[in-house]
Amino acid sequence: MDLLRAARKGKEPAFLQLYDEHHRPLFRFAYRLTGSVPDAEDIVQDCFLGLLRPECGFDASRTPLRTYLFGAVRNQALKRLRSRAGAGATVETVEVRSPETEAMRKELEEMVARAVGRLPETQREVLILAHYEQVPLAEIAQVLEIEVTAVKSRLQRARAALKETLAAYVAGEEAER
Amino acid sequence: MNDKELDQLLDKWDAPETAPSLRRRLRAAFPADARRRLWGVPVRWIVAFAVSAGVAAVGTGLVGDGKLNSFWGSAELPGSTVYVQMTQMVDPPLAELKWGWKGNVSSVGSSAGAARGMNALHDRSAKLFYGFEYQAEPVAGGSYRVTISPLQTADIQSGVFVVTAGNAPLPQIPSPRVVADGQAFDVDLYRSGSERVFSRLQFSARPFHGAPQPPRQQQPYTLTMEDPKLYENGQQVASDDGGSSSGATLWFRLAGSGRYLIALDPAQNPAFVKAGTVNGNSLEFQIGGDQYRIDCSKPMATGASRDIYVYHDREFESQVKPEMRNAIFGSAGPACVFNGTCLPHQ
Repeated sequence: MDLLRAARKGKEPAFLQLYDEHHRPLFRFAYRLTGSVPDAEDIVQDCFLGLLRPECGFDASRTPLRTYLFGAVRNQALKRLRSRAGAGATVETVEVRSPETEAMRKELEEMVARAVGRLPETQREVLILAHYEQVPLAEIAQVLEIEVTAVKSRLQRARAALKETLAAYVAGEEAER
Repeated sequence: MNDKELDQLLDKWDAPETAPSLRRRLRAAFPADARRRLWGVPVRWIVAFAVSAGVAAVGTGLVGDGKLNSFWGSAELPGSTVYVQMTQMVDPPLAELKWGWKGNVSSVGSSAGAARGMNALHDRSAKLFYGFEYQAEPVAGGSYRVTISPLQTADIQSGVFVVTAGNAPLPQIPSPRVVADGQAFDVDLYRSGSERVFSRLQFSARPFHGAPQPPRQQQPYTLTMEDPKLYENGQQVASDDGGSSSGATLWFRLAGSGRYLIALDPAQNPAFVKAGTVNGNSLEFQIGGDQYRIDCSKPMATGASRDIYVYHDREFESQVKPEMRNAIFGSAGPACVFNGTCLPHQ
């Protein structure tokens, strides 16, 4: 936590070290939640700058920094998704990075992204944290401020829904062979 | 589908790596009041920048021969290439001290079988452009029909910089004329009494890069950047193939970080700190914990290894449109002009 204290005192290298240590999983989480690289970048930037603001609610004695930052990313992402939905947009399709791999791999990647993107918000965030970021269930519970049992339940429902969605795709693939 | 199969499928969805520019953006956004500020030097002046639709370069320097700056570029037309050289000049040369501080805004592109673009001086303090638009259409015998028209500042607004300035009318719009390959076509930008500022346009089927350069090439404090490749902490972050800049100061801008100005002579400007060396086709420096290297296709300075002085101008970002994520290369006059107390060594 000395790094954060130093960053708040104006030490830029300490601030950058904090960023270097934490930004990758936060960026991936934001990207998978929003499906947008620019949004993910903005969210991560806002979350790190938020640590420097006097009104920042982070309390090191209660929450590890990583957990706090995951929560901050999640809140920002939801805010963006809701404002997008409010503006008439849907979050049905998930933008995927430019295709540099072969067509089949891209198609599969898009299909998985789309399937995860179509999960209800409460299930999607749990699945992303648990599967992609390997965050322990107890920590996810802290991030989302819910009980561990609720995390388990959401994760199970997310996985069941994905099995159903993706099984149809796999079956279709096999039928084509 | 079992759990293992689902996990394997989910793993097919990769997330992209974080772009290096995000770290730079964060650095740039680090609160100014929290950052230890070495120098509170405002930038009052930009001497040159290029807005290019083709390959382009700007060279600038206080050289005492009436030349304010030069712009080189090229436009691809069906079946041919038109090379463009535009040199802004002042007469008498002494007036260079007055006009040498203005910015250069130039561009070259092509449409409807002709090279088209603009050339202007930008007076930031007066918020005025002195410039014009041009069209050069190849005609029989290797010549070009050149047509000049008033500057449309909307074209500048669509470039990379945040620009709010009006348009000073030209003293006279020259009539269309056919010029031979390489022949000069002068357009007055400003005229008052015996003082005249003008642009000399030349069009050719061959590049101008091979032509003899102005005497500033031999001056000991001039830096030159040809085909630069920029590396940040060992990783290439930008390049400008075909780009060429020359001046007492070279600079590059990285999105989110601002501008790094590099000079051989700090010219008593305390904002410039000794940060590295230039040697042959490369220069290297370290600032703020980051290491930068520029590799060029030609020597960047005369002589053996020499010290370079660098000024990290973070405020420059406020002059660049936020959506411009690309690096920009350029050149400028002596280092002293960046705090407004110029004592040129020339």
